[in-house]
Amino acid sequence: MYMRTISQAIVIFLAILMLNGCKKDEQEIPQQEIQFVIDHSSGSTPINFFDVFQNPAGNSFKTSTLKYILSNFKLVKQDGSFESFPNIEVVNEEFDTTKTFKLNNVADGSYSALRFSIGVDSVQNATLVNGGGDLDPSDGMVWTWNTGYIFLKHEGQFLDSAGILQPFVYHLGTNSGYTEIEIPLQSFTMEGKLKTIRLNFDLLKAYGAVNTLNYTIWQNQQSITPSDKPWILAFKANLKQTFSIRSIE
Amino acid sequence: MRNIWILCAIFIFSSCAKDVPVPGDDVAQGPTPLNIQAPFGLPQLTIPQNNPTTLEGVALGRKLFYDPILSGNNAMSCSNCHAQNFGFTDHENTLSTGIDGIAGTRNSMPLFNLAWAPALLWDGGATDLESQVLAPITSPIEMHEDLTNALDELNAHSEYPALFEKAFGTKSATSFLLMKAIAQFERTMISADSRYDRYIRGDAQFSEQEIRGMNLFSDMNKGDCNHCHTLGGLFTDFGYRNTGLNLEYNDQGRFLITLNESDKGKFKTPSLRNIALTAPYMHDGRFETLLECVQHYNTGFQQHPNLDPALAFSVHGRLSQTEMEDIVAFLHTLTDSAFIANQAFSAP
Repeated sequence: MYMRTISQAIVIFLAILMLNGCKKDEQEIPQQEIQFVIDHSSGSTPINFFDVFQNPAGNSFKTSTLKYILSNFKLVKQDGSFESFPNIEVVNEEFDTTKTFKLNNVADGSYSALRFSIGVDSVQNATLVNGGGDLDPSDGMVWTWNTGYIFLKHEGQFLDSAGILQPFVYHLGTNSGYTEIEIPLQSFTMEGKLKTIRLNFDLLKAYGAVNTLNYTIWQNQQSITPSDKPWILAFKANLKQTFSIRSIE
Repeated sequence: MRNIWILCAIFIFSSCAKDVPVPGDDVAQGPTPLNIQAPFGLPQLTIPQNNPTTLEGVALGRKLFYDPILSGNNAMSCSNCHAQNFGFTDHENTLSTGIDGIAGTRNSMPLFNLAWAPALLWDGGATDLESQVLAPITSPIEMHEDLTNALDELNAHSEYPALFEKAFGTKSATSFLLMKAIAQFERTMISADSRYDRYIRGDAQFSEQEIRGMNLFSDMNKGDCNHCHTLGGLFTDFGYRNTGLNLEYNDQGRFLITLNESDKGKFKTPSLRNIALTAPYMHDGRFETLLECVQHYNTGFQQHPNLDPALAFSVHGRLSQTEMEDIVAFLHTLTDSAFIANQAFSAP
């Protein structure tokens, strides 16, 4: 009986040893993280795939796909220097898990702006093998016949002038479609363990912040024809204004 | 009781160990590196760092290349349009045709010496060999397969998980590994042992006609083929050119990639190695014979606004019939019979 108790104690001791044994000597440095939560809206109303909204051009539309790549996150300090983060995130309105992600190892300090991009930069866009990090080509955000990533997809239906339901397809890509975004931060200081930044993506801005895009004129834009060139520029100018900070906690 | 002790001991000693190689276990030892050497006459060759060539990777890529599992109806493999006998081109169709019976706008390109190609496809749309792999698999008018579906089929297959593990250390087939394996196999497909190569090495003789053809090939005022199909080495400069095939192109070639007006009707200069095997010719397979091709460059080209200057300034009809035949005779010396018979590239 006594033997048995000792044996059990040793087994438990060894088990504890084993469970701890593989951990490397990681100092408990607090992991400072910024968590992003992304909301999609049409104006002030949250997007729902079945809801009908009106864009600034007056088209009544509903969304069936809203999916885009975010990359090259930077936190900019007053003096212009910045911290970079390797994240490449695919945000998909359809899946809530994709609308939350974290930047890790954020250094202490005050930051005056947040930068990130829609799409991947020209270096990453030059190959489908790990060009976009872990972005898997089976995720549907690639062009295979013209190597590169689809930076943003917005698809749905709208009512044309005759009141007939028509599809619209917006696929933004190519290096000229790479859209850098900068959002000023009001006295943002990283000192706690975790900050949560809630970003809002407003479709009405995507279609009218700078240039009003009408689905009857720009209906099927896939960044593959010469007519897409002016569309890319017009859309890109809008996208720069599409994100705003809803809250920082 | 004793067993518990032994179990504990084993557990503890094994719990921290990671991937300890077991002698004789080829999976644990990892794949065997394969050093691809540039043969005599071909330029230095660079293998991408993110996809080193291995015996197991090449073997997997070869199996995939010949497996219809990668097509939507599991009836068409890469080899359907890239047949070894014909320098890995499509000899069956003028315009290569996918699983749904829909013809595209091009005849499939030959596959060899791809390790040197700076871009793939007739329009250079694919920027590396790995990325190119997905194009025909997913194209709705080619193999018309959903990539996720193809990977599911590979992962459920009786042989592939073990082959992926041997090649890449993981049983799980992913897009990246699929791309890497086929690209590895394609990099091994080197052709540099034609009679021309042996002639250059001093191991073969040319007939008088073949020598005349070779000289006309490089003569700026005659064939001037050399202008784009660089004599020796790879027999292409990998440029994109409008060769005046049409006044209006229904397939705008390079323009589809760059959207630059000046690229309308431009297509990649293909290698002339194995050219006698790769009929039909031109991106749209319009010519059946090499003589027709030479005739095109002699008198057939049209004055498209983007016509390549080398052709635009060439003298119309500068080659006689005999001279054209001489060039064709020379082109036949570029056939690498050993390459098309090489079992390493045939169906496993």
